[in-house]
Amino acid sequence: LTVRPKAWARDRAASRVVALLLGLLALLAARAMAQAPDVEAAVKATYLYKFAPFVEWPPDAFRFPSDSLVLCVAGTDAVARLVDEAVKGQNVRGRAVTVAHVGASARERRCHILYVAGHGESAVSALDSVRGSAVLTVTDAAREQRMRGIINFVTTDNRVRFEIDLDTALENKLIISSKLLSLAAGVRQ
Amino acid sequence: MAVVPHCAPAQSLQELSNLSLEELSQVEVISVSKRSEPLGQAPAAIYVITADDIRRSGAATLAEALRLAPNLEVAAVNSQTYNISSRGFNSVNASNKLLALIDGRSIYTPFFSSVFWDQQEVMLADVERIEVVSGPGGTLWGSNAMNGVINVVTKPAADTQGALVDVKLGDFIQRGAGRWGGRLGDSGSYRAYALGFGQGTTSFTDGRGAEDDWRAKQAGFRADLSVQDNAFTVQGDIFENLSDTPGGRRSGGNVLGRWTRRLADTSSVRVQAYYDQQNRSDVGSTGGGASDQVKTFDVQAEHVFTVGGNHQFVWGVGHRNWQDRFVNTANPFILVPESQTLNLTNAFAQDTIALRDDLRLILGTKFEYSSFSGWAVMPNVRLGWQMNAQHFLWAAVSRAVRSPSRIERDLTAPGIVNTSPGFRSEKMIAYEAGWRSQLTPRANFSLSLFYNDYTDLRTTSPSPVTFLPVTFGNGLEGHAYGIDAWGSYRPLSWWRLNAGVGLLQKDFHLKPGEADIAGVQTVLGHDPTHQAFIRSYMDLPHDVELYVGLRQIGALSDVGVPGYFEADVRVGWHVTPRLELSLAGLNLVHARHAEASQPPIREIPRSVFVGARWSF
Repeated sequence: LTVRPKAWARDRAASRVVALLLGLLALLAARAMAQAPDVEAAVKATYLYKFAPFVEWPPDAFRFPSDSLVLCVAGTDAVARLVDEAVKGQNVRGRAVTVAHVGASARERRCHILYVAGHGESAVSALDSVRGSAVLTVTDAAREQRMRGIINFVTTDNRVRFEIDLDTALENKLIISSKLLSLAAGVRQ
Repeated sequence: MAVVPHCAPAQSLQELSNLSLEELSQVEVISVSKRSEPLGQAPAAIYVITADDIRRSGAATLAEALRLAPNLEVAAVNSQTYNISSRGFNSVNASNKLLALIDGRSIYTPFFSSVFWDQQEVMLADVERIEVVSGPGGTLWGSNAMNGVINVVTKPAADTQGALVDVKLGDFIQRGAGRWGGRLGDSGSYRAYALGFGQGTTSFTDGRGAEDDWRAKQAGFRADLSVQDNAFTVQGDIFENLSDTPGGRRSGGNVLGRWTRRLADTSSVRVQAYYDQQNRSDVGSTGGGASDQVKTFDVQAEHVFTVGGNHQFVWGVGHRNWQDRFVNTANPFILVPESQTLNLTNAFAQDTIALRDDLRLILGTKFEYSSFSGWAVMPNVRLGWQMNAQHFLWAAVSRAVRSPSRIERDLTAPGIVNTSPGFRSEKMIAYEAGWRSQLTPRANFSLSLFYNDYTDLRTTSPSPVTFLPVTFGNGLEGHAYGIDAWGSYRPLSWWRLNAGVGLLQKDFHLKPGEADIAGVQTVLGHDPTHQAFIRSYMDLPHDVELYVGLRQIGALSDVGVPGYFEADVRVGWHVTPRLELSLAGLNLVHARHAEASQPPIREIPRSVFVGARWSF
């Protein structure tokens, strides 16, 4: 049995290409194996601090011009887990953004925004704890009124949108810009 | 029906942080496997034309907007007719392997499995996106989704509130459209629109006018209502298009209803039904005329749910009833029977299995029964690997089928062509692999390789000895292979570049004992071996934007249509947030150029228009 030189050369070239490709793949795989985030949760986590420029807090909500914007998170879900990473290096109108993970009562912390994860009784008590104070409450897909924050995420047509409850905003002494209202999927007043 | 994923450039938190609130609200969070999962994880070659791309390009019709997809071949045959295909087979008689849908309504005609693009228009300003899948989609979409799927998705009525007037006035195209949107109580919205346009004439190669100018008018509506976990949509359109020489009229309308009910966080049911009617009549240039009519009634249901943490299941059933009639007195070609009812019933199921956090396996199949051509099975296996935040690799093997059209079975002309009751479905097995990458937050690309193995493609077979009459047979087999690649790069915050390239090779032969005399009408079509695009989108100071789109299309060498290079330029000025004025030039390089192989060859003229879009 003789090996035809031409075919042999071709096979060798092919195996070189394969080896090269495998090497390339290994190289790529060796790079940071960071998991791509759940997009829906990532979009919601990004919204949380993007709402801020369109909300006006009463003057006493920030004592000093250098005060950071405090984004509180009550409970855990996919959004809550991403918030720290999402706000890293972000600032809102020159204010740094800090994240505080709070328990069922968010009152102890001076929150500007409070994201409430989940729809259980602890979510209700977290929302109740800041009723009437200058906190922008945000909930995710809450169906019952008592579990709904000023802003409530809704997913329609595969997009993350939000509803705004103007009554509760007023109760919490917040002014929501018309721009934010115009982007809302629904406005309750 | 199924919605394919939006491969938005946003992939990481860092990228999302660069988006405005408006842009965030447009990020798609579902995928081909209908699970909320990282973007870019759809194991298929999908390109998404965005609403912004359409507006900036100055495209005045749906078919022109489809030129923005680098994975489509779009060739204007004349002022009214387009050949549009994916992965080859482009010509009037061959572009029959593509499925096109507008908001879930199938628009290909059962007469010859292709789309009459001059009967399919949309309110372009209300289009949210156009998803273009190259490669088979039979498992989810059914027969005819052989080489690709075009899915036109309009905006929900909630996103088209208020009034909008959109006008383009030019030497080739004149188009005006208006829309009004309002609220229905607390939880619903509606819109209604009307549009009209006229398009000028193309030329023969000797410069004579082809007198194929035409005009169209269309109106429609959409209403969306959500009640707790239920979402309802009702929409409809009505149109009439006219051409004077030698005389033609296309008319029709449709109404569609859709109900989606969320059962749980990861489970939902969707039921959709529509009725569509399309009429087409033409006066023959030598007397007589031809008219055809198709009435379609379609109903489908699908259910998505998860089992355990690892299985996302979707299954569904559907039924379509087509009633058609074709009458021709212009020449001896008729369909026997003149009128026919086709029933198409299907059931499909697909499971997306999370083998690991970064590894998805999709297994699915569709069973379809046609009263015309019997059973067809369209399975697919897809594997997607999200290597890391930047790189996604995928591979797929699928089988797809194109069922016979009316013309292929029932066309007859005494002494020229006999009916072909033995004509069977065309079949294909596709092998695909792809690599999508978000190289940096500013640059991404998608590379797809395909090898399609076809059999039973249509042949026009002569009679033994006497040659005529011919019949249609399934005598061709062979393969096509190639590359679809595209990418996007944002060198500066105000400048985005898109580029795309498509390469295609075809290798077909007759099966032993078969013959084909189709010649220029070959079912293989006439494809350029390459096409390449570069599109530049700039946001300039003073609210001015500049679009430059360049395309190089290779020659259709087998029929002597030369390749061409063309350029489109559009300048838009946002005078106020509600008023945009624009000036555009299309096909600026040549006074006229030919794109398609259909004789007699027509040439598309250079054209310019001014535009205004006003919302209030």
